[in-house]
Amino acid sequence: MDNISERKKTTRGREGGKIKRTSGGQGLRKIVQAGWAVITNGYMKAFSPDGPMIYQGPLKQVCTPGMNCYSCPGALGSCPIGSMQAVLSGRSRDFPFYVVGYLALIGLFVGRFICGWLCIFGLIQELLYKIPTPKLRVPEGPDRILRYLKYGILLVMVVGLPLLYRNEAGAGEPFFCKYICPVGTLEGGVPLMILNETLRNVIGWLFAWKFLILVICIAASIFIYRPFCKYICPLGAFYGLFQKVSLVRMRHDEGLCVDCGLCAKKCRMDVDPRVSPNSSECIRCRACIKACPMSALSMGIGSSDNVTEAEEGGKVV
Amino acid sequence: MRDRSMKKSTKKSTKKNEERGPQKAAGMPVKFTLFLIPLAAAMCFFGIYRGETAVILSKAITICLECIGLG
Repeated sequence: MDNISERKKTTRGREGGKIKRTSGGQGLRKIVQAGWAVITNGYMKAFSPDGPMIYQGPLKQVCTPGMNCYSCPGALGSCPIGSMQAVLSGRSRDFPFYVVGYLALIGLFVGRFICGWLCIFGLIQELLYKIPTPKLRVPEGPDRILRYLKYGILLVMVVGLPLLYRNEAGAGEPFFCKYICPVGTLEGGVPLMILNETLRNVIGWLFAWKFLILVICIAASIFIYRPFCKYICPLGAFYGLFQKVSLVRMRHDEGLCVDCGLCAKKCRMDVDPRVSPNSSECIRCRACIKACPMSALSMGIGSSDNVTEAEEGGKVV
Repeated sequence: MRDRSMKKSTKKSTKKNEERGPQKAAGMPVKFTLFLIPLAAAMCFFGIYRGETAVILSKAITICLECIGLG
């Protein structure tokens, strides 16, 4: 018994050093998600009838780490995906060094941890999934193909088209924001339409299209866990590229694992942490860590995905 | 008692791990990540130096009509 509780507290690293395990369950995660949503969208003046429509201060030079539309009345920061397209679609077709470097830094430190802990749209999808209805799991074949869709969206709609397309006036367009992003519709479009009559009067087919995408996303979120994150989100795709190299990593201890499969069963992103603890689909919500009765899974600063008992003792196999 | 059952289950798990076939070995070494972090930071600072934040600010302080579905 003592042995197990001891192992629960710490895990040994490759060189025998201890890796500290972070604490906190799903309740804490919800508090962090909600708190972050309030902090980054805390410009209350915009919601009053006499106030400005959106925040226009210098904080908007800074990107938020998660999806957060800069046209949301309360938004204090900028959306990284919108910012990336703003730079790419400029007349000089500049490479967005600031946004790419910033996102790469976050990815290199924590990978997709942001998706699980600091994304407002992720929180909304999770809350919708809590509605008690029968839940669906996309069959493995289509699911595997659909997971690549977000990388295609990142390449084509976020990078390719904003970089290459120019209208007659020589200006580019943020294709992802304009034709797909349901976050912009929910956080920016809907509140601004409610608060402003002038904007309501110019609603056209594009708003109807984007609203339809939003409705599909909301409806799908009730039955499928985080469908936008799994299949569409270009920011999740970008962070996913860093999962295997990020400083904070998941570790699976093969020596302790009894193959009960509880971790894979508990994972709503459909990752099997025994096979791929640092899968690009993992949002590092820690549900698998909490589920593991043998404490075979942990999260910390480490260099290997899977460790064996021999490695734990400091001997690399 | 619990200790013995744990040893038993560990043996069982080793067998099952063998059955599962070769696992993905060690991930990328931390040294590689530590090499990439300054590169990413340099990119970020170069972007700031070049004035990209001003481009972002000018876009973000006006209502993005495309983002909200009007543009």
